[in-house]
Amino acid sequence: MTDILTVLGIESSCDDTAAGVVRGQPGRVGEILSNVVWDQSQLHGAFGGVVPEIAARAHAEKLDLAVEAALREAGLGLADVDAIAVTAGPGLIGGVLSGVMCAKGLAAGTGKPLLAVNHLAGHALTPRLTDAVAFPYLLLLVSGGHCQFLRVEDWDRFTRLGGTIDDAPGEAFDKTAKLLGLGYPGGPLVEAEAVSGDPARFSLPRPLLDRDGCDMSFSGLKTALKRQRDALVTPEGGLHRADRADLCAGFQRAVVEVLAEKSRRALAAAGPVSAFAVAGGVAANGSIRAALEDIAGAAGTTLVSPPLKLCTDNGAMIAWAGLEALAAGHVSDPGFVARPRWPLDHRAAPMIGSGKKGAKA
Amino acid sequence: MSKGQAERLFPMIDAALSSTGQTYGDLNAIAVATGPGNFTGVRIGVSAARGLALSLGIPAIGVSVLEGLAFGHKGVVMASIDARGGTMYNQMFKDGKPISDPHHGKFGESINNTKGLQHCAGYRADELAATYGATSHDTTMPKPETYGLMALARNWADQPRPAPLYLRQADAALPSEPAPHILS
Repeated sequence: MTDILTVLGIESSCDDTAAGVVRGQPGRVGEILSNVVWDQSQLHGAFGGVVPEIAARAHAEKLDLAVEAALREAGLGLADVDAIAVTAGPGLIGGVLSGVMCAKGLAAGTGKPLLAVNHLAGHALTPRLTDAVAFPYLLLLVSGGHCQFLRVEDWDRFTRLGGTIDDAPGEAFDKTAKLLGLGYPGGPLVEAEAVSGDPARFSLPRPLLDRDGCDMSFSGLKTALKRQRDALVTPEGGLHRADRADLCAGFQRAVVEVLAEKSRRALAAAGPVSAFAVAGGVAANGSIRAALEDIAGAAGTTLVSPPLKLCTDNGAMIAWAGLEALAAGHVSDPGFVARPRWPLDHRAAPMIGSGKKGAKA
Repeated sequence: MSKGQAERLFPMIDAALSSTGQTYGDLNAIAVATGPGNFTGVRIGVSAARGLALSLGIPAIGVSVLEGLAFGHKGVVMASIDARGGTMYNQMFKDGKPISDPHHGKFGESINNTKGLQHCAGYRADELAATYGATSHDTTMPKPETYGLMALARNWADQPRPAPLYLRQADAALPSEPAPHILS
């Protein structure tokens, strides 16, 4: 029986500056003592996507404040935590570096152990924080930057069953929103618009659905949507609201169908698992969630979907991933490096960014 | 050092402390250079200093590299730093105190407030001294201990947390294609 551990987690790999404190032990639902998330979407809104330099600037001046807020909310001092966990990649390197340097500073001054956490492991282990899901389980990580099926076998052992070969769905939602003049972030805006739309009016592709396996592709879908939009805009000099709603509904339906079918295949490929879990910001989409619930039910398992605040980027999930590592007797070498690319499954063939720098995620 | 700053910073701090027989607990404040300079490099230093300050419960004091170049010089000083692409950061000081705002501009463009200039410090200081008739110049960049001395001279109670001095907007382009006109 391991002890009850308290870990501070720091996250700054994309456009959320976050810090959280969790307490607990692997195998039991963890206690979230604080989970401070400051999102930067206002800074990036005008650009229709995350601008790395703008994100890095904001993180550098906010991270220590987020840590202070998280400790205050938890009613703890740094002396009360057992370790400091920080996202060390993959992600936008400017932000990751700020987080890593801040964490190294916190560790140097307190002598606390450091844990370099893979951001994807933070998402992947969240179902254990929220629901104490037992290994192994199947996870669909679906966010603005990532989309992959992982068989989660231990705190540090993941098998990737498939993933996107180009864009992540969250990115496709953002680009769709941008193409249709809806604003940013695109996910909730496209979903709201889709409610009144006819998903069957436009025929949009279901990329890679005809191909075996669990790999996915979303960039062609976005291109098809743009072509459809242009066909509507050119004769009219603009886009009618009803057309926009239909485009949103058609786009969302396509994403839902691809994710659902690939989830069905991933569940079949994963073998016996304790649950099908979903994480990442796109899991907030009601239609996607409903489709995944059906797929899980049909496969005789349950869908575990953590609350939205723990699905999107946050510090508590990094703290929890650190806690699992610490409980297993692992501590990072204080000289660890920040990594823009860091796949969870080292054995799997790279899907994205397979250039000389290696796989992205 | 253009690579490996993030990996080397803490081992260097450890070495600096142990070579003087000090530990982190002996520190009363941390001085950090806030630039202008390489954005990532500046953020590495500022983030580390802020984290360290928080953990030790001591202030982190941000000091400008331009001010560091002028530090300790009497009279009118021009400080300059390479900003790449034929540009530089520069600022005018008198007796170590700024008399102009820090500025990013093309190297060779005319500089204000150079009346009575005596000393040029920093990037291409020799050329700038010749151009503006300064009597002396020095092209070496400030040493870390200079930043420590600068911080010692400040009142720590009213210092904001260190923030990078960028002097340039983030490189980001607004969407090239406007959103479609929405018809009702």
